[in-house]
Amino acid sequence: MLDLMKLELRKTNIRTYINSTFVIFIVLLGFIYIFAYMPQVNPNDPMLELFASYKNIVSLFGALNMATFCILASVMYSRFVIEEYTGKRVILLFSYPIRREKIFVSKMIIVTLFTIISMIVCNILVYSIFGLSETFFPLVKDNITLGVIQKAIITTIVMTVLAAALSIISMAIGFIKKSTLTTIVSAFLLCSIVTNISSGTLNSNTVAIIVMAITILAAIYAAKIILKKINCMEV
Amino acid sequence: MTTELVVKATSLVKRFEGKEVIKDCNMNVRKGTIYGFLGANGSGKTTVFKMLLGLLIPSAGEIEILGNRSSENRDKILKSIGSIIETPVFYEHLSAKENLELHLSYMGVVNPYIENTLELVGLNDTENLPVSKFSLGMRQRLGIARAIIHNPKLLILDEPINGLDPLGIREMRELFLHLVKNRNMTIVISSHILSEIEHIADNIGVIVNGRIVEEVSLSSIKDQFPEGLEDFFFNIMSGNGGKVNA
Ligand SMILES: Nc1ncnc2c1ncn2[C@@H]1O[C@H](COP(=O)(O)OP(=O)(O)OP(=O)(O)O)[C@@H](O)[C@H]1O
Ligand SMILES: [Mg+2]
Repeated sequence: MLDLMKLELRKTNIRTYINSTFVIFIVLLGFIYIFAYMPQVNPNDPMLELFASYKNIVSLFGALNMATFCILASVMYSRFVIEEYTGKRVILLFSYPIRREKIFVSKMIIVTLFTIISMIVCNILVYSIFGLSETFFPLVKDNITLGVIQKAIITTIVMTVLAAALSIISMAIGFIKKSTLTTIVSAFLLCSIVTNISSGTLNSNTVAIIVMAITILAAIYAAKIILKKINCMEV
Repeated sequence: MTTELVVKATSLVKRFEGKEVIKDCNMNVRKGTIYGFLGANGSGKTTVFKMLLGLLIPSAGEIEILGNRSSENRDKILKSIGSIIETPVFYEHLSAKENLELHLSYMGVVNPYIENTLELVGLNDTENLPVSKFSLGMRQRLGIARAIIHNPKLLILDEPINGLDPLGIREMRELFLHLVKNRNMTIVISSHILSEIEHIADNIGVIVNGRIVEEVSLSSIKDQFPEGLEDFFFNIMSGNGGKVNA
């Protein structure tokens, strides 16, 4: 499996996605400062009070960050999976003496691992930079407590899992529709739905865990459907 | 004379959405020969080739390749086949050499002589040029290189000389004969260029509307149709059956 993953990486230029991650990192970093600065734009607007606590900033940032990485992952799936299995390339892929599902699973592992690692690294960096600057030049009238740090860690984990799982579901939808555009649009829609649900319940861990569990199950189911399709696919 | 069969397809049927595209096909390819597969557009050549490669599952009938039933030994069979189906596709941003390296890894074969193969097909001076910059004929040559580089026992070539210049066609003709003679390969080749098939084939199979109506040796065709393969082919196409007493 590791060998197959290496071959996948040789076929596709992974640098593109590393560069994208770097750009995403800069943009997300910018956003967390914008969130923090919000209440000062119009101190009388009660709506902006939302941004006056670290916990809320973490939640909002988490949602934004999840959506961005989920879309990046769906772009990767378009390249690694949809383009390979819908065009003429699949004839080549299926002419190799390797079980079809193995090649597919190796592709999924690559995208999933890339999403998880890049998201966690990005989050650690953003939180460290923001946390450090807040310690010395605070923008938010709140204290960084153990609770805040705990919240940041849990949010990061939940959002990472959500991004990986939602992108698998959108890949499956795109696969069935044989379209890269559908893949990316589905990722966008799924993210809006899920972030809406979770932002409606900003501070509830139970809801987050339930949403996460449902998404993981749906992703596994979606992957199974596609595996089955690939196994009996005729080209 | 050995009668060992490399390809033995019996009563093949392929239906697409209920429509029978391949009907009761029998195909026999002897070891160490070149089998020219002829047929009009849409007669089913590519479909038969895809079934041999396991890319399509036959609706009925059986395929044996190198003595292995294709329904049970997919990986083993694929390892000993090299193929070009329709227009070959590559990883466009990689060079010819890198494409071949990837192919070898997927085939699970080590071949340190990639340069030699590139030379055989006349692509030895492409260096690091990405395939996206290749001409049609260069792609076709690379496709042939990819089909042979893992030293398969059976070559399945679907219109492999499309887009080649006259010199290229002649080079490939010599290459195919060389592969059969010196590398113990067996070749099944389809082409619309009858003169080409006439130059290299030992046996001819003709498919009409999804049915292989003739399977004869080229020499017996030449006895019957001294004008050549073209006469024979048109004779069959015009519905005379073109029966040759082999
Ligand atoms: N996936 C498919 N679904 C439905 N019909 C198909 C499919 N693939 C091929 N056919 C039909 O099967 C017939 C044979 O097609 P095939 O591609 O095998 O012809 P061919 O002999 O290779 O023709 P050509 O000389 O043009 O390459 C055609 O009528 C085609 O329309
Ligand atoms: Mg064809």
